[in-house]
Amino acid sequence: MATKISVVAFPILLLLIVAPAGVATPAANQDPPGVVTFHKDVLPLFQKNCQSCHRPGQIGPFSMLTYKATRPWAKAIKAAVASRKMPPWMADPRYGHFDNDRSLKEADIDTIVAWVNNGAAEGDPKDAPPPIEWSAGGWQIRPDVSLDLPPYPVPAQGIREWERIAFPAPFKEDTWVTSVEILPGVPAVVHHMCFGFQKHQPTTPYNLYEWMDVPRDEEGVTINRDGTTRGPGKGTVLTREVGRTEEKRRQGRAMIQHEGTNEFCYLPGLPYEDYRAVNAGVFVPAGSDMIVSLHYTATGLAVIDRSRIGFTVTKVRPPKKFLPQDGAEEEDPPVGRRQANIQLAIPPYEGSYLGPPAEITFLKDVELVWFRPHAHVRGKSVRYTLRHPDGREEIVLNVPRYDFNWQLTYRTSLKIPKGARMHVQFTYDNSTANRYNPDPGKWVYYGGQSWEEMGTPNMGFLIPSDADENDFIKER
Amino acid sequence: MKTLWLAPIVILLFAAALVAENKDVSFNAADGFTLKGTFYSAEKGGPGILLLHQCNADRRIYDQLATMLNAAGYNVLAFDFRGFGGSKAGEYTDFPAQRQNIMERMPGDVEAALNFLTAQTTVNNRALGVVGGSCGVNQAVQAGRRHPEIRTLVLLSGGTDAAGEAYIETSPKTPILGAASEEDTNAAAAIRRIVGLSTSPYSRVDMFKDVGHAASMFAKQPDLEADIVIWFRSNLPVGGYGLPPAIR
Repeated sequence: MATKISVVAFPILLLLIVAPAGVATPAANQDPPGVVTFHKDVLPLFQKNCQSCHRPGQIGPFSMLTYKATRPWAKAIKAAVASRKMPPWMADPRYGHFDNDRSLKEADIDTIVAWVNNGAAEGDPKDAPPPIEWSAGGWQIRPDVSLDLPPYPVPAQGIREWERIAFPAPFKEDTWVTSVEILPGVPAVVHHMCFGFQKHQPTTPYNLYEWMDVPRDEEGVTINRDGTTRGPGKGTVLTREVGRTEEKRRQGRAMIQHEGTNEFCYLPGLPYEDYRAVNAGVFVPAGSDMIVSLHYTATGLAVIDRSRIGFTVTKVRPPKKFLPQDGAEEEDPPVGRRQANIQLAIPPYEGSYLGPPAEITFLKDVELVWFRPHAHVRGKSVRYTLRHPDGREEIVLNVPRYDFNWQLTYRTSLKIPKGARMHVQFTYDNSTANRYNPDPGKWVYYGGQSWEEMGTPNMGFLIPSDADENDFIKER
Repeated sequence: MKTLWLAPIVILLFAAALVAENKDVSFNAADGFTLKGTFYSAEKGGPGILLLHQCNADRRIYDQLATMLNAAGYNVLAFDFRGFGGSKAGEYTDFPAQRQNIMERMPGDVEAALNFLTAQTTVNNRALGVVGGSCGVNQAVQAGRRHPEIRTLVLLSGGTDAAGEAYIETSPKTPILGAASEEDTNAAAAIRRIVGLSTSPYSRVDMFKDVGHAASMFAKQPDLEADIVIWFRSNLPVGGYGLPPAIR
């Protein structure tokens, strides 16, 4: 028999019953001055740094919206903040300045630790700041426009290659997108979900999943290591209509080509993309398509993913245009972009392997506004070093302990002069010391599955909104 | 006076347990005996956690822990071993008098519970965890020995046998959280021994003082339930790349 008992009045009633036995009454909640309390001292910190994830429906394992919900976790919160495990922020504080730095200041940590050490007092609710009005439906942005992706059945087992699907963009007129949020329906199975816009091509089909066959060995490792994330540009193409299970095979090239770049992504731990703070946007001409790249991972449980995408938009051209860094295309371009680290080959039991570095040359002056390093479970660290035209070297981001579960974006404002180069170095841990290493005894090569490895620098730039976005950067 | 703050917390936790959505269930052991349990379903699907109670209590001792685990994304099954709680029936109604008979059937009861848990449509049967208290500790360890899909154990105030110890020594990928109270001398020693044998570098023992035995510790050490949830979130991921892919 199912039970769902709503007893809002129940705890109040019990409190009243036991109050004469010595439980604190509201009057007794008025702690003496100087005592650290939840409402006065701690809740503002939680609102600013924790509640975006620690509220119902989000990824945090418990809610931190109220004293009642938070109090049982006081000791765990103290341990997490004192060790700087939470909030998740991996950047080395010695380098760079990041607008979205979620790490707590020492004084904030001291406040939380003192609150817990002194019994985690509630204090007077009148001292509490106003509650944050979170968007409904799980959004962190307040989307002006949203769309539901078709339900996607993810099987319990097997390998899902990177797939593409095209939709008409949900805008009837020329539009500037100023923020985007992708809400995965079942986050456990979504390895990534990225998309970009491009002018509709008559040959681009809608409501059709399309992917390239990627030859793999019995352990799922890519056999042809050509450095693409979706397999070769020509070969066996597989398709499946939305809502159907039958797969069709043919030889040739994929129909869903993406000439542009993936402007927006969901990755585990990655929050939304927001260009409003830097007065920028992404221009979407009327009649554009959305080309969505999907990568699902089977986890052992068959589920149906229902992901959503939300946008804030404006019709007014913002001063700046967002430009993501992307891989170079070659004469016979691969369907997936060519990455900089295709020679990656990590030896067994190697605990600190230097991957092939990526180097990006800047062909014009540009403003870098975010870094988003991406690797898989063997990713250990990453460092971005800017080599100025005059020969100076400057570390602009250092992530000494990369955590694949927190694919963070590090937002900054870095003016990069023409002729500068960005050198990006990932290291990998294929040893037994890496608890998430599925098999330290194996060579690990470049590939799009989580048991393979990547090392993608991912950076975002701003350029004048009337500038031609071509020829700003070159990658090798 | 210092402990008075615990009272409203415990009461509110109790109230929270009541608002959680759960389902009373029953399933049969291999010999046909019907076992009673409570299943907490994870809305978006996820790993499964089995809660094995101590022999001086029944599944209700895990009401709050199950609710917290469920809120954190886990499917949870708490059930009564035969002779306890809702599973008192037929020839199994008096544990003290039928101790050996009931104990001998506990492994079969655990198998039935695991079968039930992994048959639920929201449960990822490749990602399981078990909590065992006191007499449930050995049952949890033996379940881990039989089922490699059990990826982590939480053991409260109890010990295991030689086969269990051998399993722990040879399971570096199965981290164990052990907890006990110092004055509970034998149980504390047993937990220390188990965690000491573990070859997982992430295994950990939490020792308390004067908080009682097994899940009864929760009443005086309410942080322990939160610590168990955090343990599972670290060692039995509900999402992200830490969840091992299922190729085959």
